[in-house]
This record gives sequence, C-alpha cells and structure tokens, in this order.
Amino acid sequence: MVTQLPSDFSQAVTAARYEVLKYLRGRKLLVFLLLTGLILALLTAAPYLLGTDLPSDPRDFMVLYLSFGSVLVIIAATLFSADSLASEFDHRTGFLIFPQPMKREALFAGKFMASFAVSALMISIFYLVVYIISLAVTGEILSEAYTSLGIALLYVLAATGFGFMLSAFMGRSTTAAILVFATLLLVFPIIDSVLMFASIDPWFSITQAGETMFYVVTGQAGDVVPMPGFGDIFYAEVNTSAAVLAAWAAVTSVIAMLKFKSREL
Amino acid sequence: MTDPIVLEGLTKVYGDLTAVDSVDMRVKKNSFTGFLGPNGAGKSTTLKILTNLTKATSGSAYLNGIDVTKDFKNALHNVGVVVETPEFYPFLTPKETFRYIGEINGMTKESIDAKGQELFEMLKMNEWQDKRIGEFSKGMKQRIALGQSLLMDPEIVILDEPTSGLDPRGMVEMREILSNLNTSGLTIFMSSHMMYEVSVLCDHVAIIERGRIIAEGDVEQLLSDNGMRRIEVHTSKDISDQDLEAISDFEMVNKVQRITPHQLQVNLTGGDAEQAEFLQRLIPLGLGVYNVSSSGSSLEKLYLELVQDSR
Repeated sequence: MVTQLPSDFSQAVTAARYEVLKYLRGRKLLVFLLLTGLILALLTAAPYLLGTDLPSDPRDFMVLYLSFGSVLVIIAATLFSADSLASEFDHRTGFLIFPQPMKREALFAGKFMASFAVSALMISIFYLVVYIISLAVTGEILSEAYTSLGIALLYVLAATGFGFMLSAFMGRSTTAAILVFATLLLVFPIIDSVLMFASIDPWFSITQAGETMFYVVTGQAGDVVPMPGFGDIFYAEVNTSAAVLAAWAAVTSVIAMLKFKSREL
Repeated sequence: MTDPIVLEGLTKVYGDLTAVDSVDMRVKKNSFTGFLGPNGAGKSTTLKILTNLTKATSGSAYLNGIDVTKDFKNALHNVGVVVETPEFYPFLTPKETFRYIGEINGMTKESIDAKGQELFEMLKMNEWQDKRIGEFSKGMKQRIALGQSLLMDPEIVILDEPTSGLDPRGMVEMREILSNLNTSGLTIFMSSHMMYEVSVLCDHVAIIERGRIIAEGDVEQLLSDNGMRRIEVHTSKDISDQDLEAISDFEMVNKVQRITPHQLQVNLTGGDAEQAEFLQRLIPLGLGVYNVSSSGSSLEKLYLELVQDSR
C-alpha cells in the first residue's frame, strides 16, 4: 500500500493529538486540577475559618488569589513539559517513533503544541474560576487581571520552552522534571534576588518577567523600590516582561529543537 | 532495477572508534537477508543509520533509491522498522498505536483498522487489541512492534534481533511469523545473533566484523564457495578407513569426518550439481547409504571461520 505522506504540519497535529491524549489519560492532569482546586478552596475557605471575610476590593481580592499563579505555571511546566522529550529516550519509545517518516521538527512541534495547550488551558481554568469568584464576591473583575492572564500565558509559553530545553538535554525524565521545577522555583528567583541586592535590574530573567503576572494586579509593575543597604527591588514593567517572556520562549524552543533533532538513540 | 537497500561507503565514527567503516553492501529485492556479526561489530549502528536513529559520519544509505542520510522522511516511507524491542506509549492500546503510526504514514482510519485487524489475527493478538500496552509482556510488545512495521504493507522491513529476549516459545512463534512473511514478496533485512534463526529464515547473509563487511551473498553460494556445504550421511554398514580415504579423494569433498561407525559428516564445495555427483559416486562404495541430510550448523561454522580469519 503506497500512501501519500502527510505534510509536516499535518504530522505535527497528529503528534499533538496523541500527546494531549496522553495527558487526558494520565494522572498529571488530575493532579494539577486537584492541586488547583485545593489552592482555590483553601484561599476561599481560609478567611471564613479565621473569622474574617474575603476582600471586597477587586484589587485586594486578585492579590490574594493570584499570589499562587506563578507557582501554578511552574508546576504546569514541570508536569506537562519537562519529560516530553526526555521520555522518548528514557522510556525507549523513540525506537518506535523516530524511524517513522516524520521529521523530528514535526514531532517536536506536535509535542510543544500539546504541552503548551494543556498548560495554558489549566492556567486559564484557574483564572476563569478566580474571575467567577471575584464577580461573586466583589461584583467585578479587576481590569489588570486580564493583563495578568496575558502575562501568565506568555509565562506558560516561556516555561514550556524552558522545560523542553532541559528535557532535550536530559537522559532521564525524572531528572528533567526536578531540574525544571527547582530552576524556576528556586535557582532563578535566588539569582534575581542576588542581582537586586547588587542594585542590578534582572529584567531579562524569565522568573522576574513571569512574576509580573502578579505585580500587575498589585499595581507595582514597573516600580523600583530602594532598600537602603539591601539594594533595590525591581518590579518588571509589563511590556518588557511580555517581550522577555516571548524571547525566552523563542530561544529555548529553538535550542530544544536543535538538540532534539541531533540527539541519537 | 535498483536494489532496495544499498549502502555506499557508509561510515560512523564515535570519537576514536570507527563503528562502521566504509561499508558497501546491497540487499536484493524480495530477499530475506540476515545481518550477522559479533557484539560491537557494527550491526546495530548500521541499522540505526538506516532507520534515522543515528547520523552517519559519511557515506550513503539508500532505501528504495532515496538516501536516508539526506531525505529520511521519503526514504523511510514504505519501510517497516523494528529496532531493539521498542517500548510503546503505555496509555495507548495496540489498535490506537496502529492508528497513530498509520496516520503519521498517511493511511486513512478505515485502511488502518482493516489492515490492523488482519495483523492482529496474524499475530494472534486479537483479544489484546483494545487493552492498554502498559503491562504487556516483552513477547506481546515484540508482536505489536512487528505488526506496526507491516501496517503500511511496506516494500522493505528492517528488523533488529526480532527474537532477542523472547522465551523459547515466543522465539518459535516469531520465527513462524517471519517465515510466513518471507513468502509474501517483501525485502527483509534482519540482524540476528542466532545462527539457527538466520539459517532457517534467510536466503542471503551479510557478515560484519569490526565495522567492515567480510562476506555477503546467497547463503548456499557462500557455503559452497567456502566448502561449508555440509551434509550428514548415514550408512547401514561400517565405514572403514579405506572408505574414508576414497571419499576424501572426491574432488568436491572439502573435508570428511567419521562421527560414528555408521555416520559421516562431509563438507562439500560447489552447489547442487556437485552434491548430486557426490551421491552418485558414494553409492557404488556399497556402504548401504539410507539417509543423507543437510547439517544445520554449516552457517555457524562458516560464520565462526570468517570472523576468526578476520581477526
């Protein structure tokens, strides 16, 4: 049976569909949804348990709920990106898929689309629930909360690229996942803090730019707060953050794809 | 007509090690070619280059006339591959795995399902086609691997040690399946460590040692050329030293050994005609020949001698 080979794009879409199926049938999606639900439930219930009310001011409300947003982005990148490429080598599924008449670039694109789509959907669901609660509690949605969602989705894109980059270099899926989580949650923020201590603005940092999803609702985005004796605290500006996150997504994705393409089994 | 698999000056270097060293080789259309060699000889590396798992340092590897080192997407179109017992996506069933692979290859869902059903029956995996692969045994995975390689009705199938790691029953079953494939007009290129397997399945062999092809061709021809066409002769009367001397004087006899007083093992040069002539000249000796059979270990002997000689 001689068939007509599909285009690279068509093959990428096929790969993406089956990657999404992997998440739908796996535990990761469930774990993420449970975690998100738990965070939202705790944030909503805690004030009542402590005998107070949820903030009635839309900004205060968003500050409370979105303080965990960047952590969720990091968890999403860890769960849905970190093992995406490494697993083909670690679990030997590459022996099945790499000899197929499909360019690695197409497979990479399919995997990237799937990881980004699933992560972006999860973060969007989180924001949607927060918006609904905000409407119910405060009667409105802070306009900056929409900008926050935009920055959050860009952060998801950048974190996905970063996750793929580490995944392309790592031999083990678990190592890749730990590295992505630790780097985004600890290593980069520590570097950001050290730079600020030396009064250097870490505007180029992925985590500094990502945190803008929170600081845009606090109203601090773009501010510089001097801390005499302790350097300065820089809050990245929205447009700069968007550009930095887009650049991180582009650069890390290209590095990841080149490595994935050249890697041998 | 172009041979379906052609290697030209194929070389793969890892640091100081030349794993595949300027290999030139042709696999004939509709042949079942065994690819033999000791561990580390370059078998797997050659197959990995052919299947886009590894890049060649230099040279070309053509599949159906398309250089896999330059255009692997089109080169691997209509080529089935099983390399190193692949693992499957545990969240998919065999049927879904076939759909994934089939869609990548441009098959319609209807044709995937129809061909898949035929393959599940052939592989005796019918009742497992809708179960997730996660917990399948190695033997079952190897059948699914073979199945996906045949999904597109390919013109070429490349197999890397397809019975490796299987239990004895699994090996026999896999050999039966491969043996049936041999009659369906495919070109099959199979690496194996198992000489018996190659001798019963393959009509051609290529032997690689230290990255170089040291012998290739039709199995019978290779055995004949190297005096390795081996037969066993059973007689009802005792075989005397004079009989042995007479037989060893036959020009087509390369070597003769008396295994028991009533059994000889004879290495012949030449082909069928020489064997027929040998038998014609053997009968008049009056040994009461009642059985003549081919010895299955000829290929193994040839392999060992060639590998030994190359060292």
